[in-house]
Amino acid sequence: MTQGVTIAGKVAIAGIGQTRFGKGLEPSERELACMAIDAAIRDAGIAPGEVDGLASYTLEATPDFELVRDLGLGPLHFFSQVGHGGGAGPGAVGQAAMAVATGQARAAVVWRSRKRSAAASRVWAQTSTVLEDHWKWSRPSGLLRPVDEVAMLAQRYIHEHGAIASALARIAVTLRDYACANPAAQMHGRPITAADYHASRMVADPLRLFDNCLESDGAAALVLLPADRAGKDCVVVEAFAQGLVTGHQSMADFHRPDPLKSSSHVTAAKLWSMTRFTPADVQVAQFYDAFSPLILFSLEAYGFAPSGAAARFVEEGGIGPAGRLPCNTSGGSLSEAYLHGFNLIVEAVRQLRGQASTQVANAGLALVTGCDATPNSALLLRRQA
Amino acid sequence: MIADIPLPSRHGPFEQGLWAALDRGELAHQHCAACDSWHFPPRWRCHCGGALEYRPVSGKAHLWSWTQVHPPVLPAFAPFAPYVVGIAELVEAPGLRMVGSLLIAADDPINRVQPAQLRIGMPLAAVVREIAPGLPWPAWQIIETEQPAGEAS
Repeated sequence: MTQGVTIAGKVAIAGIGQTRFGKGLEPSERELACMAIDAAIRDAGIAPGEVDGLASYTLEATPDFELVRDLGLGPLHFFSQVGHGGGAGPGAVGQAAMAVATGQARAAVVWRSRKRSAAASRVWAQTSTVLEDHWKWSRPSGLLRPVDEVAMLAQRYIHEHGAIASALARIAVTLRDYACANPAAQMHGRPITAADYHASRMVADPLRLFDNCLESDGAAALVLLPADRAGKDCVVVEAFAQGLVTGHQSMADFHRPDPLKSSSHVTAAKLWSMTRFTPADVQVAQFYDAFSPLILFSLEAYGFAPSGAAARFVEEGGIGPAGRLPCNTSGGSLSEAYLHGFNLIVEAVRQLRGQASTQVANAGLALVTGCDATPNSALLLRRQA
Repeated sequence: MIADIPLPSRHGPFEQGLWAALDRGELAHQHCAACDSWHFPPRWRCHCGGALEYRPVSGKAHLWSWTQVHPPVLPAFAPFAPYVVGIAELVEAPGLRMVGSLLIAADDPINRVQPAQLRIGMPLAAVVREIAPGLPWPAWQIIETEQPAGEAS
């Protein structure tokens, strides 16, 4: 049952843009942002001066006013940032969509730009010598990196539900296959096999190298317009939700009775309460995949597999091109690029436009999610004929 | 002790009782008398609205999960990698968990325990020791038991 007034169908994602993805790209983070936003604005067919809203991640290093000056945007009447790293992407889009739906903004840009491929830019490598935040409870004991934190949850999941190694291998290989069909992907032309996965080095038991996202430079951007401005045959926001479960703390989410019931579960419950659609209606999904187990956790949280059954769903080919729910069809964070999940949103739009490198036939409804291990967010996007 | 590790600030809100107990070599957590619940990390009040006060805990726990951390890691930890880190669930309450090193002997380095020795649910006991000068923190000693027939957790 839907609650209150929803934004369903009121806002279109009318423009998408992205830069090259790769390691050691020459342009600065700010230039990359300009390139992606400029491409998205041109794709939307509007003038830069029409953009009066900007939304991004709190992780973003480029101030909004620099981009307004660089690109000739504005004046702005909506500017926001959403926190929590990988949990932010659909939230930033959703907040901008609410602004457009209510008239606070007439045209909004959402972007993510990252020069991440330099080792020094890794967030965990910037750990300060005195920890004031919640990482004080775990980092001094040597649990340092996001992968270590997800490994803890994966190990517990294995204890409760059984082995996942072959499912993780299937995820790595499936996403690499998608990347090999996508010329824009960082891992295009570099296929792997399940044997390669099992031979890859252990990073944080039970997670191996190929369970980890790429280190990427690049940027991607979207333009949101009122749906009635976007013309016929556009991609609209059907539903949006954020979720933060009580007791949660970002990434090191260990201190409540059932951490495997993540913030995704409350995000999903809210999302499905805001739409007449159900998981059975979704034809393609883009799950936040900084680490491969997050896809297993998300398949369950959003209602595509019962608790403990996601590994089997994957092993039976469920996320592949001929599966029940093709997932991360451009290669995702594991094999296309790691932009804290923003490229996943762009791919969802391509699928609904019929422009994806591995196109899901007649894709009409797409789910995009943020990080299962942080405060989270999700978008349900629909092709409006 | 390991030099140059990231250190927790000891000046966060609601934490004084935790550090005071650790400085005595003991472990204490916030307890709500109104609903008999335990809480960590420290917080303002219980979800039931009740006041919280620090009370000693038994130090008994079970292994809730673990990982073995392989390089690359922060330079301070690099000489010890790969090393195991565990999550101990204290017997006082489900969800009352702490991240820490796992030990066989109380003065072990952080990398003696091997994955093959671990079984989720196995009993642990808190060993409060300095992990950096002036920083007491619990590590978790594996309690030797005869091989149990079933899982504890």
